Amino acid sequence: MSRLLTLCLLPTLLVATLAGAAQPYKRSVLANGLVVTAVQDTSSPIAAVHFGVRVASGEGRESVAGVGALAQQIAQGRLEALLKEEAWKPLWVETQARAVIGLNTETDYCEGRAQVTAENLGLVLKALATVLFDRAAVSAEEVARARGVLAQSAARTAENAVEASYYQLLRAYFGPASPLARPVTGSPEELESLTAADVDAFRTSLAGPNNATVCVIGPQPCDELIALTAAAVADRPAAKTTVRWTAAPPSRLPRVAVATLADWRGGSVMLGVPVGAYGSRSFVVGQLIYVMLSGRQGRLRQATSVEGAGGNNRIFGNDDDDGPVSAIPPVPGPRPFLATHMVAQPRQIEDARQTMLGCLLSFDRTPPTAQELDRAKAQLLNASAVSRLSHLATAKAINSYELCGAEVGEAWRLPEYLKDITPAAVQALAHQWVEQHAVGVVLPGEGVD
Amino acid sequence: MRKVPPLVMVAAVLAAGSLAYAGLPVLDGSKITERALPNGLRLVVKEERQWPVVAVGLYVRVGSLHEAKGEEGAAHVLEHMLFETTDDSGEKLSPQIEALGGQITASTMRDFTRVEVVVASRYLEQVLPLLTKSAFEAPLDPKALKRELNVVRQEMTDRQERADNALDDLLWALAFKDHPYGRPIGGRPEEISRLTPEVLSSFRQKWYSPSNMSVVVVGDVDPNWLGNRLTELTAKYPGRPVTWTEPAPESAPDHPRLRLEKLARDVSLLGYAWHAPSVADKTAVCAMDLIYTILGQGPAGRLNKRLVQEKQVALSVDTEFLTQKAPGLMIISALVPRGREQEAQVMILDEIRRLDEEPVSAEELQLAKRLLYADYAFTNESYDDQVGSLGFYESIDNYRFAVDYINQVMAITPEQIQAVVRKYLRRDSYSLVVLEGQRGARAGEAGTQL
Repeated sequence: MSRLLTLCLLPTLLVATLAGAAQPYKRSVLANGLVVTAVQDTSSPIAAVHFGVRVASGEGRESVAGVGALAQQIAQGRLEALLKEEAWKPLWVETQARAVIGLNTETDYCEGRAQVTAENLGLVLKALATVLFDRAAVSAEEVARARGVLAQSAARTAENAVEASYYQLLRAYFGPASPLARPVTGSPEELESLTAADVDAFRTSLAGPNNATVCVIGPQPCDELIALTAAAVADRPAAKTTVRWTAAPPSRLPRVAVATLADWRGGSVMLGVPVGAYGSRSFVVGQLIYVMLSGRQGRLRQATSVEGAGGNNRIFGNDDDDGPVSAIPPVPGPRPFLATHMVAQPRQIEDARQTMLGCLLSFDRTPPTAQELDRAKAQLLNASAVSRLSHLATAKAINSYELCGAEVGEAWRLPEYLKDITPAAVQALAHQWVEQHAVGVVLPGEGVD
Repeated sequence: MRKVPPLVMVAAVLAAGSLAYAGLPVLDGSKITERALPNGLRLVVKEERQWPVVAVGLYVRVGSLHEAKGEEGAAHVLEHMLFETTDDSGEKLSPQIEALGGQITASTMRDFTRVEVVVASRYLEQVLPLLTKSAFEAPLDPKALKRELNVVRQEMTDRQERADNALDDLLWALAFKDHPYGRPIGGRPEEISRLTPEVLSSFRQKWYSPSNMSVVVVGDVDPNWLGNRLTELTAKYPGRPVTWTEPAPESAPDHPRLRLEKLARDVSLLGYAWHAPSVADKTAVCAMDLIYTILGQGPAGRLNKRLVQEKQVALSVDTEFLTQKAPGLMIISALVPRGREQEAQVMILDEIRRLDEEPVSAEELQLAKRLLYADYAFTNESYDDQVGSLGFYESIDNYRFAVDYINQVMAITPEQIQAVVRKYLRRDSYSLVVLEGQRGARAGEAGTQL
């Protein structure tokens, strides 16, 4: 669960991190289509870069997932090789001292991220742009190596019942044919079927600056941050196909997806409900409901009477402290949702589902009191500000707005949104969930459907 | 098609970055103000308006160093008791802060105790009274104390289950026979059983005086407002003089001290400790930081290269040196395949000898400085990180050392490094603890469970 939540939590938290700050930022679109958001932060000589490329597991050869992850693994290998070269030695030195330089693939996007000292910002931008938008032909050896890494990663995920129920929830939520419902790494068969030509085609067609956004944070003035970015990325060609995310309406719900997991004795059920698009007020209402579900005084603990349900009072960031019943906040993406999760014995799965659904629908039947809502607003605002853990997390949070097609200025509007949110707004969102929810279930053994 | 050869581009970008940002301070002293309140409480504020968040650290200059006989463990237990502070509704400190969405942490060191809160700046007004109340009025209820003593005992048990922690405790005890630094920071289980509300109350009365505290704040706050507000909140707590005779520093051993213990794993863990400079000798501190970096920082470190990569007599090597108020320790530890302990020891001592006999090359020193700079920059990235650095040095010396530190590191010469090696890392003046692995025992990794 912890990896899952780590993926989920940071951007969500940092959506609101920026609340209230008089933020000097500047947005620019480069000639090759890359959208750059530059933020000056003079509090320390640290710089951070977050690239998001809107292509991942769903793209590439039709009906075959995993090419995005495979391309990223190959790029990661090239990045590691690059850092060993003399020209890039300043970056290698910093990686010995807690600098971050790496790539990652999510279900719906690939990211390049770095956190270095400010004087190496230009160099790290160049390194990431080089490997993210690379056109050099991929070799069969590179594919084999990357495939091996992904297969190991997929095997680890398959053993985790909570992550498995999360993927079942995605299947139920987005429909089994949706790329968003596929495991990032694809299936073993899909991975095996992908070739170097598939990766080359994927990159030429999709992995270009015109499908990417980047947020750069550093002590330099915004114009200089943009100039450094432009210098590093200017020679990277645009991809042939431009990908645009649209906030599609949720699929027809409710729907249930069930999987079985060998060597897993218990049951795991995850329930997801839609919230508004990232950057909208509805998304913030979803976050507030998440807060009201969580913690010692949250509705999850009250509804289940399970010790530890809902985590403790630290609303965000307790990924190692989920407990047997927990909530998962909405995160940036094409179709954000809020989820709850419960570990239960197989015979009690239906009871668990009803308990969690009842808890979510309680916001429709019993809207929050003014006191409950005010407390949640304070917690959300405070946790969001406090969770400004690093320049890199902040860069990702800001970049997520551009990546999701929202206006980046929304990152600074949380206090305004919160001010206007009433108990009735919470009730209205929860009311939709009577008919719009999806369930992912994992059961032990084989043959259960 | 590339219009500019990539290496040319890299060089140009790098040059632009270096020219523009060389010398940018890690902790900008021009943003820091300090003030002493009428009761002696020191306030250090670094104003940062970038984000609407503020980190507040309360630092009390009392740690295990200051505990008299019969008070062992009192500083740590008292830190636990601060969290018993309640508001009017009976809610304790931690849930109060966390219910606001803030974070609160605390720790006890040899030289000081700290409580730190990170909170959205708009809620600072609500947090300050809670924090000040906890420092001076935390209830010392016997039932709560009994419960917290059990928590502390469990912490001790958990800590001792890790071999690296056990090694650390053994090294400090072996290196300091008389000085309080040789005792475990939290005391021993039998010692904390002697702690009563009366003992803790007396301990607090002696050490928790505003004149023995600093509040360090970084973030979105007006220093003037903060100073005035803290003056109001602490007005009823008058400053008392804290009188204390600092224990005399303990001389480094004049011959090697050795302790051998068994480790129920198929690997061995060994550690060398040399007495090291105190914060009073800042040049030596900076030189020692470079020495542990040259020896042990990452794959490029000398010990890693030789013991792990080339000779494979160790699975991992680590070096550490924590600057303290009194002379502390420079420690080298290594996880070693069973049966290779002697080889590892010879090589570690040989690398110390090399530092003694051959000045560090300019290139290697430059790399170490670069590593230390990057490490220091990352260590001071966020507001709470910066409170940690400023508060640390404020507690053992003065916050200004945190500001000046990296410039002093950059000025260190190979000759100064050699002088510090010769003064502190003497061949006959170390303590060595070996936790010897056992044939047929379970496999273990770094930080292995005992």
